Amino acid sequence: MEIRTRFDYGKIPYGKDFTVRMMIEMEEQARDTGVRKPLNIGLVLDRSGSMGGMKLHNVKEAAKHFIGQLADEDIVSLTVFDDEILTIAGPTPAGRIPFLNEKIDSIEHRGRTFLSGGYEQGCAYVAERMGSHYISRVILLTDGLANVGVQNPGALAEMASFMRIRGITTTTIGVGSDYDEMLLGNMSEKGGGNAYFIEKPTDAVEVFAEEVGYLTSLSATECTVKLEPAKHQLAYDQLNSYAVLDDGTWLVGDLYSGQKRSLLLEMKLPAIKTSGSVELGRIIVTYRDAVEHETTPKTIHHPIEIEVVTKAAFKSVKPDTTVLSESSILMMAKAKAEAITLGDHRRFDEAAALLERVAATVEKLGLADSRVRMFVEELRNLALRFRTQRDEYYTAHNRKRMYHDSNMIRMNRVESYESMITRRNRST
Amino acid sequence: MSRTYTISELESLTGIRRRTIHFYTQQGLLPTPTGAGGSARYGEEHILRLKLIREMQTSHLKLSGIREALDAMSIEEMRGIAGKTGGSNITWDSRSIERWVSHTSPDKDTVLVQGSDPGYVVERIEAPETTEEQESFSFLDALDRARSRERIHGTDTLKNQHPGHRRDLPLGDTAQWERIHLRDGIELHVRSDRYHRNQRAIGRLVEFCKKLF
Repeated sequence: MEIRTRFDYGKIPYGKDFTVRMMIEMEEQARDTGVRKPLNIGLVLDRSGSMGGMKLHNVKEAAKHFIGQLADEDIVSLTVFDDEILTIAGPTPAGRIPFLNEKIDSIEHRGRTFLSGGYEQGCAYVAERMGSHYISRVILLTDGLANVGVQNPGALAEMASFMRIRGITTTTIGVGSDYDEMLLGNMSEKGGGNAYFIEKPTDAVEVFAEEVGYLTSLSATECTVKLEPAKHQLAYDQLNSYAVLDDGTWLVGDLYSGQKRSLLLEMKLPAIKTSGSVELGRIIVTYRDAVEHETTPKTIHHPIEIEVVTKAAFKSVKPDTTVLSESSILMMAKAKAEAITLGDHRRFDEAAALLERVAATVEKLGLADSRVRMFVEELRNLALRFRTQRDEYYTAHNRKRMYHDSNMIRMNRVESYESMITRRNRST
Repeated sequence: MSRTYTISELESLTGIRRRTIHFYTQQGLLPTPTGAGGSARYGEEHILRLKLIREMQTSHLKLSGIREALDAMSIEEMRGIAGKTGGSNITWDSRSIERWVSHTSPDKDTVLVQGSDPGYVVERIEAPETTEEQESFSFLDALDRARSRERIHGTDTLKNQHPGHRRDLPLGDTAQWERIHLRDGIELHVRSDRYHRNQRAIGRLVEFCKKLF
């Protein structure tokens, strides 16, 4: 893995408090060897009453397609849940599940939503075969609210966190407009996996294909980043929304072959009274290689340095617009998440004012980046809808769109975001 | 290793009372000493700065202006100037301060120093590449400001809400909070975003609180 850091201001003025943004880029080189660790997947599908009709039909097709993409050495189990748990297939090498298609076709909708039970069973099946030579993941799909078993969102997210620590990551897939996107989002965030939104049933196959695509090209897993500042006065926070572990480490998650992910930090530097290159600290990146059969995580130490120049020299310093643009986009994504909170309390005018104000703040920066302009425009449109259409606009479906839009940007899942927008635009 | 001084020694060396030294530290004219309380130690920079503050004050300059000028100087420059002062021909007026702030730019290009009371007036001849706004800009603070303004003006806009709406519902009631156990029966609750942003300060707060009980 390659680590790079870049500041918006790589040079700061001598003897002056200064706020900078630092982008930490992690890049996995493309590996074309075709060699990968086998997968150990627990597929957990909701078949409660509300899944009836095209939803279940498309999800069943998607599950067949998903399993069909796996290699013979991959392990997969299939669990379905309503208010009971039913095992369609225990952990078995993919391709060797007898009568798989017939079994999946026989799944019918019924009952309520025992989400925690289904999830636990899926995790238990993955745990049977797990080990460092496998990439272990549970994929949980639901269209509704948990109403049997554990229903507390915090408790379910903690279950996912616990599983991640044990080596099982969790991806969640929400279908339609009735599921709890916050719950599934938190489970995937703390569970170290992805979160998807199937807006219409016909998207199911594509979403499952996307996930299997990522899983079969994983290059690094459990990637974390920690900052160790050299100066105690250094105040910093992420502009992204990665899960933060107890010791302040950020959980970035997986990187597939050729992927670049980034973490953006805002750092308030104290007045530095030393000229030239100054060490601010170091970042520590840890990850597990998803190709090599190693059991220990790899660690990279990367020093962070910044140059201190005179005020006169600083006047000619030009900021790195890429870092400023990414920071702006993340701030707008955060504003969208704030607007959801206001919208939930039906404070639509305030949500609109917040979005407009943030859009205006970003516009003042005068960035030429087309993505920034697009997001500014989107924020303004959203503000207008909040003001004029209010409840009519703020439906469960649009809330989910806002949530996933914001979340994917803040989690730096750029490719998934673009796929989601493509699917959405295709349907409108 | 360079020599350090106690507050008493600093008082003797500069003739400036310790209360005034503490005040200058609070105002940012002096760097924070190493150590705290009785073990606080001051260095050469403190002596130089105090000497220059006194010089500049004789020219009736305001503290904010002095701070800007001092912050623009390197320690070598302070040594050079402090060595000449006390009977030297340096006049600390707004023009000379301005030169330090703009770091004696040969084309007399100057910068606009922000602040409610800068202590001197500086005109901008040409806009620099980086403005003062960009220098001090924080994305997180900007979002904080946007949030707090919503809270301040919230009651006005709520008039347009539906009758059943709960006006008193706090904005952050869906936020996640960190619970920190201090002592038996005593906890500190910090909103998660705030906690991760100010971990070190909160760490010091926790240590302080633990000492209280």
